[in-house]
Amino acid sequence: MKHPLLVLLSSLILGCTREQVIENISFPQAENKVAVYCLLTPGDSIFASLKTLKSISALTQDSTESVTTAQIILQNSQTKKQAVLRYLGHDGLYGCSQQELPVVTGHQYTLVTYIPSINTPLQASCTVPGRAANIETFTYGLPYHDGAYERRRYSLSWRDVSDRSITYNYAIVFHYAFPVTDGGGSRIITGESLYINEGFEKATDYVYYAGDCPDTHLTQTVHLLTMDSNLFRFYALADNMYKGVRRGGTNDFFGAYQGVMPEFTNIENGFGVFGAYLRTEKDIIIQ
Amino acid sequence: MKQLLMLFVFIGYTALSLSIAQRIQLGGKVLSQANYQSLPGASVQLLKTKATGVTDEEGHFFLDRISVGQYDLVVRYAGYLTVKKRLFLSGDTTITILLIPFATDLDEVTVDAQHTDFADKPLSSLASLSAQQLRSIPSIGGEHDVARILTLTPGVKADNEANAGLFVRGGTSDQNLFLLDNVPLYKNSHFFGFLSPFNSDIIRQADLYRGGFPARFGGRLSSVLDVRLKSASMEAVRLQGSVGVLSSRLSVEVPLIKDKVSVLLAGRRSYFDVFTRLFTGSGTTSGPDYHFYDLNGKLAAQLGKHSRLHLFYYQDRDRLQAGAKNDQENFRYDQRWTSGITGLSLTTLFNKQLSNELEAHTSNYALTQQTTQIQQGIGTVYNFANSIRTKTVRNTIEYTPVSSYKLRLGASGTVYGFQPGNLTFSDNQTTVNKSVDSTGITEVSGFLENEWETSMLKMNAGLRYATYSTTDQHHYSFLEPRLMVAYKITPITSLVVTYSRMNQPIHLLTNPGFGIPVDLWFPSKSNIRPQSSQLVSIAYHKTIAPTARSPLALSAEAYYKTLQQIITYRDGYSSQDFTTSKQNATRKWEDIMAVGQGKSYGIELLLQKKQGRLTGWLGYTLSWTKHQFDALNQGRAFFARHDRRHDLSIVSLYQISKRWSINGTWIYQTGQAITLPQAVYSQTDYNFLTNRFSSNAPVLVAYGERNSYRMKATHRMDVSFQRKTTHRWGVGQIDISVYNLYNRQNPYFYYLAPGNRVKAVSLLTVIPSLSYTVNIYTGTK
Repeated sequence: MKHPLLVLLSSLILGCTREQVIENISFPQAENKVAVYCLLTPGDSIFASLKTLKSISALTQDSTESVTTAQIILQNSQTKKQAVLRYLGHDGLYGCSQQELPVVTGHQYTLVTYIPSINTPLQASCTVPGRAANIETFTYGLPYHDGAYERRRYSLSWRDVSDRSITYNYAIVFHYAFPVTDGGGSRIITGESLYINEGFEKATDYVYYAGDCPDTHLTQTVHLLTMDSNLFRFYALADNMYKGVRRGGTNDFFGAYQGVMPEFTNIENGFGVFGAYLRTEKDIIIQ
Repeated sequence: MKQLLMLFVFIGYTALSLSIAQRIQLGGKVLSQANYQSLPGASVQLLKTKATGVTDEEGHFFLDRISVGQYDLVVRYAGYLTVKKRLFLSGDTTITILLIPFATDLDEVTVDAQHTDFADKPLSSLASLSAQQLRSIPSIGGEHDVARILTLTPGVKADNEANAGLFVRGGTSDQNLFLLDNVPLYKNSHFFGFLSPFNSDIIRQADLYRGGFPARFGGRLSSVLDVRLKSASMEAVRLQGSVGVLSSRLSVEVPLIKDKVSVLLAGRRSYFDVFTRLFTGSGTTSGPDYHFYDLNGKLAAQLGKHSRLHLFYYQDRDRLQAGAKNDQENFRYDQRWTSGITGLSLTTLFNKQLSNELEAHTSNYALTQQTTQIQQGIGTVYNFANSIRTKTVRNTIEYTPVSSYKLRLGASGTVYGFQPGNLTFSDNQTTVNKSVDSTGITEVSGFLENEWETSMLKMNAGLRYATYSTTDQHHYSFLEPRLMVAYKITPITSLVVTYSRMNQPIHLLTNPGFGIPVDLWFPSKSNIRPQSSQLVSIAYHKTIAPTARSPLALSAEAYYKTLQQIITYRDGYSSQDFTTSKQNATRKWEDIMAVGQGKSYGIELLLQKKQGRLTGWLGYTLSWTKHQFDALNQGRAFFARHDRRHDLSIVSLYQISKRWSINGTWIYQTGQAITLPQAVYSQTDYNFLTNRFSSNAPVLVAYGERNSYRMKATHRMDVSFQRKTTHRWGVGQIDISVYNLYNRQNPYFYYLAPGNRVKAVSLLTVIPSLSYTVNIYTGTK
């Protein structure tokens, strides 16, 4: 919904802008580092992905190489039980089953990764949230047309389980499904969207989220993620980086950022994130 | 401390000793014959003697230590015919000199001759502009902006070509004290930073101190822009107006009681909103709707022979609105930047030696944002406000026992009130108030300033003492010594040394990137100390070919400045982290700012030609500005964004005939220091619903050394033709200007485009403009 406004403001300021490609930028060589991603959630297997850092240049493709020879050790700090993640044979993915290392709410876990080409091991720790928040209320408005689709505003609320006044670390994953009829015939398009930065408000003990969804009268599912602070911060900054850097920052006239967008990581000697989350969900049907 | 007091006692004693040598005195007033307006800054000289002087703000001059005899008195003022008058002086004498303006000169009441020459003033580190210079230099959109013109002088830079903010000797824009008739102005721009808030039609004099700060000024680190507005004519109604591309201006001077009370009213308004409304269709969108205006009012009253009262009022507002609306939804954005000043001053001249000025004023600034979104059934409203309000009482005594010595003594008290962030959110279900508590600072300060002048030496030695008490019960005290010594080595060469220590209790957070300016003022508190600086400079001035018809003035000045407790945003933060209600957005402003230090040093060269048909100057600055913040760049020092290694300005004004003139400027600047990403790494897309990584892999970027790249160099040429016209009712000036004559694509910012190509965005193309200014006067001419 913000887009019409942003387009208007863009037209004011960018009405007379010109762009040109700057040739022959000599980017410095990147350090020999690896990005580790490992997200824990109770009741499921544990997976990790390892990708190399790549120097930027006009020839750089938007993907990086996988690391296939790492040794990843996870340990539950409370029970001292540990597991070694096995390489799954593709895309730099490693994993172990929940029987090998159960993910328990409220427990702290440590990760140590050894990579032959890097002398210092990569290390991190995280704590699985103790409780999951549950969506309690759901309301929605009347339909409106956003220029392409019929949509509805909706609002959710849940009791805050973080016990903190400022940081509460939630995200919404909206699983959408809506019918489309075009030259390819009639079909249902499905997908997920992650909302993490905006739309959340807190008053007393309750957190409110407001968003919009297609007015399809189909069952939609809203998933509420209760995250540990590292995971939240990583995804929140990644969202900012996507808006501020990869889109050129031109979508953000209320305080656009063209300065340094810091990459958050809790991986010592590397990049990426080691985090944990709990997930609850609510089906919504708009009548 | 004891040594400083001894120094002041010594200076005072020496000056008083000199007074014994005085003989007879010559005093008087210099007025314009056109309207009997006083002419401040006129040069007064008794030929073949050392008695010279400059008229003060009321047009008064005073020469002493004159022997009995016959003399030729010469009075000069730019835009006026020079007067030479033979006098026989046998005792103390008071005279009035009337100067006749050039017939077609629009600036007859506003020219400040003394201040057209900023290079050869013994006060180093001072740039002064007259109204005439303001109107001579090419405009953009018909606006002869004082801040933009000052960026053509050495040591002063703009952040970028679309910005009129001043960056003085490595300082940032919040470190400039903008004074409008001696009252601080906290809003320093219109039109998203493109123009300064000063209406050039009513400026009498603008002085920019970039060092050697007199002790009467305080509260900012890097510069003082002292803008004085003219007083209304006491004799006749005058009307001045200007129509330009960006805005129009109108000012009127009305004598309410002849020779007693007069009032000046001036206004300026842009008309972008009128244009945008013309082009807005009947669809679902409206706007964007932007305008700014400013209003000035000044009432001057002569109270008896010796007292004068000024009541001053200023108000401005910039407003941006945009929205989208149809049957089902309504979305509106409304942002306002407002400031206002109310000032009252009473100046009393007890005798020729002693005067007193009592001032009381208020100044305020507020930034407000409102976002309203109503979609059927559910509506949300966000409100944000950041504001600063100050109330000041100040008294200044000026004592001139002899013409070679002046003592200024003053004290002031200021109460600062801040609302750093008033943030509320409401919808159908709830109202959330995330406002932070109002806070404030109480400032008590005093100063002592000694001006001492002999034929070989001029000195301004001062001391300022300021205490700042914060709301959270913390007290900061500072002693700020100031010194300016000018020594005349030969009749055509001089050396000037300055030292200043400054402190600043307020902080402005400015967004690091491109966008609508959302500048937030914050006070010092127990864990955020006031900013402070120390500055030393040494300057050498020389007149080249002094016997030629058109001598040149050369000055070279080196400076070194240190900055402490400066602030900026932490990496990744912007005003949005304080003005919007993002999840986990902090409500402590110290959490989003980094505190550090900096230093700046450089050499400034100025070659100026002040006489003849062709006048102008060449200014060049070679400088370095580095910052260091523990929280940024892994604690390593880095070049500030406004660091420019080379900065060259060439300004030329050529008088083709009495009516026609052509003026041009050319600037060159090293590119802005920026940070570019050095590496990419895959984020490895993760599905929170299935707990699986996918092969899709959006990339993130990692940055290297901060500000280690330079954007392309900036250069640009502007030209203007001006024609002055004479009419029965007054005079006029047509101004045809072309900004960026050869259409240089100067980069405004760089960004990383898809394919990892770095792209430069330029804003201002070649911009022709036309403006017409008239000056209508009635009554006595």
